[in-house]
Amino acid sequence: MRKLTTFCAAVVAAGALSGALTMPTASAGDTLPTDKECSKLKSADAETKGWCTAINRRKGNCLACHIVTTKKTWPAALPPGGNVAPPLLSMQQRFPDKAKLRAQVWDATQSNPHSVMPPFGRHKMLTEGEIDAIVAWLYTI
Amino acid sequence: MHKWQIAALTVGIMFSGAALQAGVAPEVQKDIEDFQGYFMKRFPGIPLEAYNDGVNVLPQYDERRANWEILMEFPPYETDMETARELWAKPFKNGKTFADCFQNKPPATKYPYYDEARKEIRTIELDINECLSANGEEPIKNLKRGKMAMLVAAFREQFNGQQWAVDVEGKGAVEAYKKGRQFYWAKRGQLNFSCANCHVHNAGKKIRGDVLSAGLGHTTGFPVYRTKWAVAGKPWGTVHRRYGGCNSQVRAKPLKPQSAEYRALEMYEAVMSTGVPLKVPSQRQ
Repeated sequence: MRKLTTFCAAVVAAGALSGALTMPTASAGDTLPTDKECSKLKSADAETKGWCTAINRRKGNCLACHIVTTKKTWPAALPPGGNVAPPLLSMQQRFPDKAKLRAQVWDATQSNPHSVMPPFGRHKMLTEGEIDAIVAWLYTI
Repeated sequence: MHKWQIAALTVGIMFSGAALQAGVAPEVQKDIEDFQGYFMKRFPGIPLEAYNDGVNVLPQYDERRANWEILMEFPPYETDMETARELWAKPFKNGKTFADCFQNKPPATKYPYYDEARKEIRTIELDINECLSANGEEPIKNLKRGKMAMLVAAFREQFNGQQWAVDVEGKGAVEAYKKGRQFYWAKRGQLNFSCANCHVHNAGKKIRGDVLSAGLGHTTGFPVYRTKWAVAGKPWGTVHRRYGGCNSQVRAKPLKPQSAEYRALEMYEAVMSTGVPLKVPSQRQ
């Protein structure tokens, strides 16, 4: 129940925050790239790099277990994620301490031994740089 | 009804129950009750017998079940099954058949079994190859797919509708069973998943668009005719073929089919599905 309350609070907070921020107007440039488009990108900002690493099936493959809400437009060709794990939304509100969020991606079993999330850092599934990029991106959603 | 009739009936029911029941050590019996109890609670309303339809039985699969039911009106494995039955019945050069060998073997509902003399778990695949060798025929090399899978299907389907009842009684059998249990619950591979992580803790959840199947009922329908494998023209697979695929997917080294580890795992899964009726072959995604 406590979890649910925290979750609801986070959702409300996210709603309030996004309302307070000026939402960028949707244009073609605001649509996130698909996996294929990611591989063709010559250069990308940290946020896009993080997104691309997150959706790549050989890298983060986050969508296997998580549904993700994004401020930018979801690419139509990309199916939504699974429901094994909690949805990824309002990450900044849920993890005000960025280091904690990073630790969660690096090895979620440290904070919860029963977590089934793969330990991306401990098992070297992602490089430290790739984890940084994912964390940077998570802070934007 | 007279009292004696009720008594006779009760004894009769107990007897038939006993005939179906597997002989298992108390520790194993507790494991079965815990495992099956978990799923009864998790998916209320789904009876034990229904679990032989695999993932198709789960409520989370509702939206897709209609497609599967249409597919089952003319199952894609039927033509191959006719070939499989012919392969099974075809006499060896010496005139003997597989049926002659398996006359002295346990029914499919008791496979895999622990062989006290040889101190190992025996599977249908191993006994098929032993039968071939004993009759001067070449044993089958590929233990994962094709002919071997089809022969196992031809044997197992003869026991369709009968409840699985693998025995785990002696010390050696319990030890072998425990190895399988350890394999099932231990974390494995770079992705750090145990079998149970997906098929117990997260059964029914969606991994992208796919629903994770329940561990209960696993392998009752094997060998399978799998759509994914049919794409490459090799639709038939044994349980150990599937185990290898699962291990690769969690980025663990797949073990050899009929390795001691996979046979132990096969025994553990069979024991957890005690009471689920065989339904062979089956089509899976």
